[in-house]
Amino acid sequence: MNISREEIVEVMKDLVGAENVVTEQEVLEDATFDRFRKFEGYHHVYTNPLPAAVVFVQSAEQVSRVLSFCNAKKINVVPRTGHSATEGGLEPIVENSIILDGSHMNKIIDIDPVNMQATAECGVVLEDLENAVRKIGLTTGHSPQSKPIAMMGGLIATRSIGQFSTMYGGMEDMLAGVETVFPDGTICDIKSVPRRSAGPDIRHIVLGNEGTTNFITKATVKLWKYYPQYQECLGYTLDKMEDGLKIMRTVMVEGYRPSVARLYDAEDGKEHFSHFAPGKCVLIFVTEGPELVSHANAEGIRSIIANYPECEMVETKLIEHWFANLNWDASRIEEERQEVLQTDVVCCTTEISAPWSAVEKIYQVCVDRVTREIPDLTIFGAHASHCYSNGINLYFVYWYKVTDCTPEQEITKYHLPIKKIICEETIAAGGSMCHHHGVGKHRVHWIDKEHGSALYMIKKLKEAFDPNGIMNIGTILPYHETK
Amino acid sequence: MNVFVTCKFCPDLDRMKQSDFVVQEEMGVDTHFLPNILNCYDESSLELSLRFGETVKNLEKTAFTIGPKTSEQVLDSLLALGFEHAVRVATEYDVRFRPETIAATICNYLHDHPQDLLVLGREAPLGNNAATAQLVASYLNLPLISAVVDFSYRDESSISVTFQHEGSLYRQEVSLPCVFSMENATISKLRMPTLRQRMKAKNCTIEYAQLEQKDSSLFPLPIAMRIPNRRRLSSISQKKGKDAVYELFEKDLKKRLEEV
Repeated sequence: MNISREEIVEVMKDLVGAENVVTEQEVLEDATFDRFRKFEGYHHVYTNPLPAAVVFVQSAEQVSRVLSFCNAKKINVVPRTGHSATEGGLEPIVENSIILDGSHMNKIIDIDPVNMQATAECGVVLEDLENAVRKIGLTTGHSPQSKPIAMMGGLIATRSIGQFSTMYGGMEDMLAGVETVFPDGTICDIKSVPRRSAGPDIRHIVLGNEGTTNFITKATVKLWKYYPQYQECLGYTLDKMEDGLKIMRTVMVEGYRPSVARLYDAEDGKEHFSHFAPGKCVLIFVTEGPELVSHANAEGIRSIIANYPECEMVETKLIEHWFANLNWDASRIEEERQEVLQTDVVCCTTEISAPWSAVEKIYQVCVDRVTREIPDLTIFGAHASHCYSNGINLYFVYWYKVTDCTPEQEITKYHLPIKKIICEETIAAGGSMCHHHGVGKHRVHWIDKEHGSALYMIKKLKEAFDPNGIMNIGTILPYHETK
Repeated sequence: MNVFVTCKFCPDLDRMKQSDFVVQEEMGVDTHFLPNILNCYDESSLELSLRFGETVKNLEKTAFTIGPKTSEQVLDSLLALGFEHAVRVATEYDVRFRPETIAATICNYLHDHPQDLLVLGREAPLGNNAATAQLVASYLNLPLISAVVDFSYRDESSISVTFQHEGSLYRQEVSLPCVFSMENATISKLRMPTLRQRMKAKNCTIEYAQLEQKDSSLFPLPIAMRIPNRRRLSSISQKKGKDAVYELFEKDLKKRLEEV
């Protein structure tokens, strides 16, 4: 890079308009971290270098111009939309980066009830899109906890998944078409078709790229009919995680398709179910879809659970009410900030996936090791919330009281050592260290073990689409690999 | 020195939608589906007492609650956090709107377990009375400091206390024993015990006390109940600063204020 910070800002103003280039100290500080470094951020400690500017783009053409310039000058670009990433994917780790923000591209372009798909710009909040399609009796089927704040670009870039995934799938199942921009300025529009066999599925170059090869500007997602009136909500308490996992496997293997399938251990459940299931695991299923489908799935699940007398049924309203309050919006994040500042107790997560044969072992080993090796934990638990015929995810949730260390030491004292145990044990047992939050910048340490011989393909993709290494340096691949 | 702190594990009413407010028999709202929390006054009382204990040698701390079995989750946590005693009054009796019964129950316990400092939250749902601290002070003939937001150790026989009055903060030195009624303190979050603290406290036991029923001659029971409209509205303005404020006022607030 042979250009000063001031020159970068001036060029950006020329490219997108001065009003769309923000250089206020507070905004730049806020742009140095995502939810991975929230403890530092809450304490106004900023360990990453301040970016040169936050640049708000309005169109794919503007994105193209900005990326072309940055590519030519080798300026690091961190793509961003809803700013709700959890793994450090939005951290600018080198000097004079540009935060390229697509949140102002927030138009819902088309809702097509004939072809059952909707097209939206990258900055459309998922909840806004969902509310728009609900008005005509449809749903995107996508409901991550971050629905009130997450935007379409980020959801695709991280291969997001939602609470109804067991029926509707993850973002990879929902994305029909996508427009994206590469570092050399090329704008590619992958058309939306039901299916095709015209070579490799190029949507997957975009899905999960975490801003390391391209900047998503527009997406077309599939829609389904929405039948809230036929939803059935089933809740049970039980004593052992392993029994719950067996039930979930049976439900999937027998061919039932609940929209929601969740299992909480007693520790994680404390935060959610202490008013009716203290000290118990909680198993939850929701079925939905057309009346006959929903009720048949519910009936099938009930018949499976009847073989497990240790499962005690929970009143439906308790589960429905809990589920209605699960999502995180801006006010919940503010509440969390205040609580963290008062108590120094932080809640973090790591989500993994595992084949059925390995999941119990991963759960047990991680619980044993983390509770034995990590100090100052207040809660260490897990839930499973996404089921497949060949396995399941585990979402480890941990709270620790930051003790005898500075805010910037919190990550190395607690969060990364916990993550290391979970990621390494998961990979060793044959699972994946990332289920749906992406690699970001803080799981790159294990990316070689995660992919093994297939890491070649990840590196080749990066080299091919981002030969100058300007896209989100240090994400997915470690910095020294991409220099 | 010893300190006695009352607490109540109550339903998190902030999680209720307008449609959830359904009047039941006996003038109550159905809250059985809600998670329970400590109300903010009690949370402050407990946390401030723990902080107080860190500055006072050999402070013996007692947490006291009247409530169902689920309250024991909080008491277990308090034992793990270092409370020497956790006491529950188990009762099916409806103590809402009966501050005299609550105060008499507390005094009954204190008769056998005298304390130097009594810290009571100002009020707690369901059935906010805001009278228990006053009645306890009256029954025990002890001085009462209201609207307390902080307190600290002074010496073996007195305490420095900060209280609110008409938006200002005042500091006072009070002799023990005395009763505090806690107001909205800046310290409003109770710390969480670590897993190791919880393991260490596994053998600590909760103590039990009896309810002391007392006729409510001073506090007649309510005779009717109505649920106000708790409609919430959110609105996002595309404008900025003063323009956004004017727009929100004209569009939303003005109409709602007129309704009020």
